[in-house]
Amino acid sequence: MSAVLWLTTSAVRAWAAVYTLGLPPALRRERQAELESDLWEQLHTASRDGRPPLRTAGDILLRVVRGTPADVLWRINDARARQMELVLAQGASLRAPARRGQDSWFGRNGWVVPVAMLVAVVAFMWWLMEGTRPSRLAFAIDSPDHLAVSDASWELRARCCSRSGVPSWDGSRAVHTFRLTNQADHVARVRIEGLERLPAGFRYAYGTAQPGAVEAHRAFMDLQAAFRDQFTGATDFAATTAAFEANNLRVFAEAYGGFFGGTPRNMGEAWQLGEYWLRNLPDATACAGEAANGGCASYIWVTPGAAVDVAVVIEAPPGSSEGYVRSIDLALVDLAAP
Amino acid sequence: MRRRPDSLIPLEAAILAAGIDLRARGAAYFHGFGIAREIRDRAGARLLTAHGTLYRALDRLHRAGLLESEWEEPALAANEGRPRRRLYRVTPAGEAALAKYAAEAETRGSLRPGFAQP
Repeated sequence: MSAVLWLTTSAVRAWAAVYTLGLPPALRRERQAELESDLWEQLHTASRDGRPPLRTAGDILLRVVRGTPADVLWRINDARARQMELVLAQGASLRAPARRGQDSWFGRNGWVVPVAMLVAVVAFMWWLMEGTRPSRLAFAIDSPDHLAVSDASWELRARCCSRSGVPSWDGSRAVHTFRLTNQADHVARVRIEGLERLPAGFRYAYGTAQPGAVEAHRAFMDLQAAFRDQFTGATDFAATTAAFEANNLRVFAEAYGGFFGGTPRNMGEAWQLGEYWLRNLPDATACAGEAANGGCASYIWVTPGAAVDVAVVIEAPPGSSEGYVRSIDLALVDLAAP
Repeated sequence: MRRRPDSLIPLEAAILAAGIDLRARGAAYFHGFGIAREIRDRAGARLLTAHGTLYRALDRLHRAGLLESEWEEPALAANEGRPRRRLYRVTPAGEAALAKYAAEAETRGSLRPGFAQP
């Protein structure tokens, strides 16, 4: 069974386990067994018909999502009637103390848990359908010995592809920043090679960034990570936010032309930050353009012993998942090297 | 507003009609996924009935005595390497309820496409 089918059937089982929670074991087992049989039949039929796993997973997900209101209604109304039938069949009183505790825990009609979990399922589906970030884009930068690259950071945002779909760079932007130090005694005239090998349609730019922009960029990414992880408790979001606002907000806001307001609510639109880099790198104008147009003729000048912050921005063409790449090999070439 | 126990909604009528039709074609019993597929094919629809909708309707029909059900023998399922099926059959009361539904629907002129009269 493919991973996506496993994930889908697990979601169906998990949902069934939730909305049958608190029911008499026999009734619960009955519903779950019936669903298990249904899942098997659908998977078996799809496999026999040669239906692709992704489409089968979509079919199953649609069936469970469309049925969740009925599941909840069944849990609230119908299953209660079944409980009564079972209790009556066993000759017990409907007012047995054991039932009271269960009712108070799950609500008078047993609706609290199913409704809460319906909300959770809807949220999960939204998360699944919403665009995902492809796995980390690897930038490999080769450089001559006298050009030291440090403090590299990167950012990648994707807008198109669902978590259950094919990874894609459609409409994505990557921003890669690093600090370049010239350790030689001549003025370095540096060109970044490799961008011209990007698939056709990609836009890119590189150039020196404003002082402090790299630190601000990194702090911003830390903040994003903290925002993402705050619900798991992996990061102290409040502390990270405070540090960001204390140290970097002003520089960052200036660097990004005031687009970023410094509040977590802006995070959803953070991918747009790449647009700033693409348009506003001081010396990137001559460089930005279609990758297929012959590469970049722009240079980064670095005086002996000095360090400059460099930003590389790459934007994938919208509307197509072709040209997906996971790594970019770049090379710094010093054209002034003796 | 609560429905009368013997009143049917279109899906329940479709289940009963498909079950009767299957029986006429030699399948004495049907199971959940099988009836969902049958209903889809009869209606010319693209999607299968949702899990929750289907099993809620089957449960209600069963409780109303319009369907009877039994779990198939474990050995049979094990031999075929699959989970046990819950097998349903339309009862005489189910046939009567469907006939009543069809008569009412015909009076209203609202019999749905793909709905076979018993």
